[in-house]
This record gives sequence, C-alpha cells and structure tokens, in this order.
Amino acid sequence: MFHHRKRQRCARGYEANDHCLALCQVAPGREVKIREMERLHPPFRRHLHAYGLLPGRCIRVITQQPVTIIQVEQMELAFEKSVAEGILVEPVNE
Amino acid sequence: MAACHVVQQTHPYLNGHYIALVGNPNVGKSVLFHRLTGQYVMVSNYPGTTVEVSQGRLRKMEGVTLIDTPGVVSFPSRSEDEQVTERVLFNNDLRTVIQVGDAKNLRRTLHLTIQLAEMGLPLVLALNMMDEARMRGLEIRTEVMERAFGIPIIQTVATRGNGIEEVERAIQSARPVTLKIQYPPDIEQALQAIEQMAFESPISIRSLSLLWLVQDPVCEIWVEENTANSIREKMIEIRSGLMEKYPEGVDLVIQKSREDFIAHLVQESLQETKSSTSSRIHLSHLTIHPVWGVPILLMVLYAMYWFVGVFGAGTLVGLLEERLFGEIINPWLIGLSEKFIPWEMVRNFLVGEYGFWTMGMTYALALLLPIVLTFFIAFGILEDSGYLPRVAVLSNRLFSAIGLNGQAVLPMVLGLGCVTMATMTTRILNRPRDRILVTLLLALAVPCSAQLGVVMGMLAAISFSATLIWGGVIFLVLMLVGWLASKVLPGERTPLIVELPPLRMPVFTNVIFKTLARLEWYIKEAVPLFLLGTVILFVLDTLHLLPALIETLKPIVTGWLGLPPEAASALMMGFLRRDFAATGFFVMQSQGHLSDLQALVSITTITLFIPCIASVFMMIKERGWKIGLGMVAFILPFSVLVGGFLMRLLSGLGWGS
Ligand SMILES: Nc1nc2c(ncn2[C@@H]2O[C@H](COP(=O)(O)OP(=O)(O)OP(=O)(O)O)[C@@H](O)[C@H]2O)c(=O)[nH]1
Repeated sequence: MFHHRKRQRCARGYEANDHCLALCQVAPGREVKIREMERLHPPFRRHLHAYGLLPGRCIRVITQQPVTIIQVEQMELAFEKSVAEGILVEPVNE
Repeated sequence: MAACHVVQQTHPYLNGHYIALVGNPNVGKSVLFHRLTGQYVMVSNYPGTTVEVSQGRLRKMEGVTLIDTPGVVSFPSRSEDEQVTERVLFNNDLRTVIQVGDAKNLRRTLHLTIQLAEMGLPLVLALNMMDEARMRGLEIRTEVMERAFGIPIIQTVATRGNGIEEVERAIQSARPVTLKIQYPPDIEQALQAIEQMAFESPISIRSLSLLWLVQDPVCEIWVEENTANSIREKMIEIRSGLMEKYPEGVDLVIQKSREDFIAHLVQESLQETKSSTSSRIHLSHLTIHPVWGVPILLMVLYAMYWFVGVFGAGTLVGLLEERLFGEIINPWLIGLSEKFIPWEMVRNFLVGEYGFWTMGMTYALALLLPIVLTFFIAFGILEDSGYLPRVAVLSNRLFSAIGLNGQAVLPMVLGLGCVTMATMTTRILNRPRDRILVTLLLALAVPCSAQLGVVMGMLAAISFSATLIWGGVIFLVLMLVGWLASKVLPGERTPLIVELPPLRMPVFTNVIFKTLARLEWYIKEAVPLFLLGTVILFVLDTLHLLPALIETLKPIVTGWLGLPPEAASALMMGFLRRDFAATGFFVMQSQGHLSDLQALVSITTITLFIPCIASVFMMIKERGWKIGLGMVAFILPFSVLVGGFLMRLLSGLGWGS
C-alpha cells in the first residue's frame, strides 16, 4: 500500500508498469538500464549526458536518501529526486 | 604591437609552442603536470579571465611549455573553466595534446578522446589511476583502442610515477590524428557542406563544425570573429535545418553515434572481474548516510575548528602576537625609533597607536596570517580528500529552503576562511541568480576566519548561552534574508547534480601547493589593504578628524545600540575590515568597558557588517556596480538594525544582568 502511494507521487506523468519506471522508484542496489530522459529540462539533461548518463547505459542505484545516488561505470553521481523523476529506466536481468 | 607587448609581459609562456594537459575533472592532471615539469611552475590567470592555469617547462623537451588546463566534463563547454580549456585548444601555437583519463571510467574518458582526436592535433592518452581500476577488478588492454584512434595510450599511476617516462617518449613521437566517426547521413551532409566552405581553422574543420552544430559558445565566438559574414550565415542556416529535424537535440544524436563507437571498443578492451568492495567504499557511503552522515560532518567540522580556532587562532597567534611581536620585535622597534627618529610624527606613523608597523603589519602578520594559513591547510585537505561534494549532498535540504542547492555550501565554507576569496569562487555556481544570492549571504552573515578568531575569544569570555544566542541570530538572519531574497529574485531554483569522487588520502604536496597559491593571493590582496586602512586611520587621527567622525556615529552607537561612546571608534574601523572593529571591541571588553550584553550586541552587529573593503571591491568586480553597492547599502543599516533590536529584546528579558 505504502509502496503504491510512493510510486504515484514520484512518477509524475510516466505510466509506471513492470517494464519501465522512473529512476526514483528503483530500490537501492538494483541495476537498471536508461530508456529515455526527454522529460528533463534540456540543460539538466545535457549535464547528465556529459557524465555518461545516456539512453542504453546500465546504471546501479546506490541510495535514494537523502538524494538519489547512482553509479555509472565507476563514478558516483548524486542528484535530487526531481531530476530522478525525469529519467525513465527498465530493469536488467541480473 | 603595443598590445602584443602587454601580453608578453604578463604571460611570457603563452607565446611560443606548448603542449596542453586536458581531461575530466579530478583525474590527476595536476599530479601528472608536476611529474612532467621541472620546478619552474607559474600560476596565473588565463588572459581575459579569472581562471587559473599553471604553466611549466617540460623536463625532457627543451623550450616547450606544458599547460595544465581546468577539468572539462565534455564539450560543448558549460562553465567559464571549460571555456578556458577550449580556448587553449583553439590556439594556433598548441602543438600536442595529452589527455589524462580515468582508467576506471573508460567510457567517459573515451567520449572526450573522440572529441580531441577529431580535432586533428597530435594526441597522447594517459590512462591514469590504473591502481584504482585494478583494485576494482578492471583489466584494460590498450591495443584495440590504440588502433581505433591511431594514438599511443599509456597506462599510468601519476601519484607513484608509473608510466611517466613512456608518456614523455610518446609526446616526442606523437603524430597528428585523423579520426573520423560515422554520424547519421544528414549530419554528415551538414559537416560536408561546412567543410566545402574551406576556411582556415585552428582545429580540423570537421571538429569545428561538430562544435558549431551543438552551439558551443567558444566555437560561436571564434566563428563570429574569424569567418566572413556570408559563411557564417550559411552555417547558421545549416544548423537551424538540423535543429528542426532533431527536436530532441542534435547533441544527443551526435553523442549516440559516439556511444556506439565506444561500446564496441570497451567490449574488446575492458575485462571486469568481481572485486571485493573495499572498506574505503563503505566509508564513502557512510559519509552521505542520512543518519551517520551528520555526526561524521560534525566531527569533521570539530576537527577543523580545533585546528583553525584552537591551534591557529590560539596557540600560533599567542606565540606570534604576544611573544614574538608583543615582547620582542615591537619593543625593539619602538626603542630603535625613539633613539634614531627625532620627529614625533614619523615615529607615530611607524610605531604609534595607529602605527604602520605596530598596528598594520603586526595585525596582518601575527594575528591574521596564522589563522588564514591553518584554514587554507584544512580546506585543502578537505578538498583533496573528495569530502566536499558530500557536504553538498548533506546540506542540500538546508540550502533548498533558501532557494539554492547544496553546491552553494562550498563558497559558504570557503567564506569562513576569507569572504573576498569566496566571493570569487561563486563562479562555480552555474546560474547568475545563485551567484547573487550567495554573494549577498556571504557578505552579510558569514564571518571570515580573521573575525571568527576574535569573536570566539569574546564569546568564550562571556558565556555559553551568549555563543548560542550569537549563532542563533546569525543563522536566523541567514535563513530569513536568503528565503526573502530567493523569493524576490527572478528565476527558479536549480536542482543539485554533483559528482561524488572517491574518498582518497590527501596528497601532501597537492595540499601544500594549493595552500601556498592561496596564501600568496591573500598576502598580495589583503595585506596592502590592511596597511592602507591603517594609514587612513593614522591620517584621520593626526588631523583630529577621527573625533568628529566618531561624534556623528555616536547617536547610533549609544542611542540605538546601547554601547559606550568609545565603541564608535571601533565601529569606524569596521568600514575597513569588520575584524578591525571586532578587535576594537575585544580590547574594550578585556579592559572591562563592555558589559556582557554590550559585548554580545557589538559582536552580533559587527558579524553582520560588510566584511572589508577588499570584499566590497570583489563584489563590485564580480556582480557589477549596481548590485555590489546595492548590497552594501542594504547590509550597513540592516546590521545596525538587528543589533539594536537584539539589545532591546535581551535587556527586556533581563539577560546578562
Ligand atoms: N590512486 C590514485 N590517485 C591519483 C592518481 N593520480 C592522481 N590521484 C589523486 O587524484 C586526486 C585528483 O588529482 P589532481 O591532480 O588534483 O586532479 P586534476 O585532474 O588536476 O583535478 P582538477 O584540476 O580539479 O580537474 C588527487 O587526490 C590525487 O592525489 C593515481 O594515479 N592513482
């Protein structure tokens, strides 16, 4: 129940289902693949692209608190939930 | 001709041939720089900017200069730092590029390699931090990549000096590269169309065109200054056509082609074996843990307070000011001048109450230097260890309340060292709105180390509750003014996006080098202002103007703030530096001229006062006349207003009586 409510609040416009979800919904420790980031404000999107957050890349979520922290290659990147909401990902088989 | 000479004088190295070190932030460029150059290193601002670049002679090549450029995340450049690096690349005298890359982030490194290789200059890639890559179970084979790019790739560990000689050899034999990646057909068409216009360019026209298509600011300026109008108009037309075709952004399309090129290379070159996570990685996660992060931060702050506040401001200042200057140097100089200088006026100027030496130099060297020095060392250690971005993460929520993000914590913490310098580093914030906000808060509510030392001494002499009240008032003002200003200023808040580098043991030489550079800056900028301030006070005093000025301030000082009339002269000095004023109050307090309440009111007022003349100049320089002076016009009355209210509130409550 709680989980469901959280999902709705966070997804903002994305249709969350089993195949794709917003990055802010991914549990820490899981690995996901970036599907699209087009909802992001263009300057933020470009900023993330420059760090290698591109559609098709696999990333690992390290934590969602106090901000979202992900690992791409061996680099850790921290950003706010409002940014994580705009990144759509799909699970990868581990 | 004349302009040429000026350039030659201030930047002798920038003429003649040079080689540039380029790479992502924090990959070890500076360490490699020091390994490759001898001892003659020059740090200066890049022409026309406030960005510092170091230059030095290469050890193994006669007459060639190596430039250490600011880190770039990628092109198109987004910050002033990145633009400086790009301008170095656009310079005709550049002979070779050494890219320094982080071996453990191979994809990210290769994205930049592509951009550099497309430029067509001789290129060498130093894959640095191989030790960290191996520790994480990464094995890298370079042959496939060397063939694909046509460049030498050398694995290095800059901190241990591994691979340096190979890099030196590779520089000498590097040849221009001709990398050509296939982009989608309509982009290729656009590139060809621009190439056919056949103009001269410092980098290959293909790479220049690619930068043009993604609206790179440095490329934009170059084209405007160096190509005919007809050519430029055609280039604009080509770009607009593409932008219509790709509403998601031409940059993304280009990046996707590069990502595909790299994906295949990485697959061939990189082998990952599962490694055990080291204790360092655990610690690095603890530092941002919602629960554990805060106590760790408090411990770090306490350690810093101990080193700067207790050791620097207490022990060192005690040794220098009381012992060395107070008991040895100054009495000796006073005796000397009494013997050899017959004119009282000159004697007073040198060693009198507002003496050039007894006040100005003693203050600058014995009281401030130890505090500033210990602060810069502590800050350098934090910076080199990779801890600062974690502070940004932890403080993000606090700063979001005042319309900023956690990144603002860096200039704010630096402000505890020197507000003037911190005002300059607001450049790291991306948006003008954030820079204005932080500049205002720095000037209003962040006490610098010089002042903090004195304030802490005074508070300790009153009581712990005084410290709490002082801290509470400053914090409240900070939040309230920040909140109000963020509502008034147009524009939205920028969310935090920050890279968290791994936690590392700070490198001694790195810290020392940075500290010395900052110290040199501090002595050049601040000490002359102290001396100027002392001279002004001396002149006012000698002409007996001081009493008149103090007289005009009296109604405010006695009537509104409830302080004794002598406090007006201390406040006068606050116009030069607020720690001058704080010191004045400190002396009054230790002579018993201030009650506890008066002492508390005086230090609260002076903490909120304008920092110093130098910082006002810096505010004007960075933010412009209108905003700079506007802030001063707000801060002066506001600080006095808060002081008066505090006095009324506390005496109403019966505090301190
Ligand atoms: N383990 C390891 N650490 C390194 C190596 N090279 C550099 N470092 C460390 O990495 C950190 C960053 O090094 P710098 O030389 O300051 O990096 P930079 O590229 O000049 O950084 P910016 O100027 O900020 O872009 C420092 O703490 C270095 O000690 C290496 O080969 N191995």
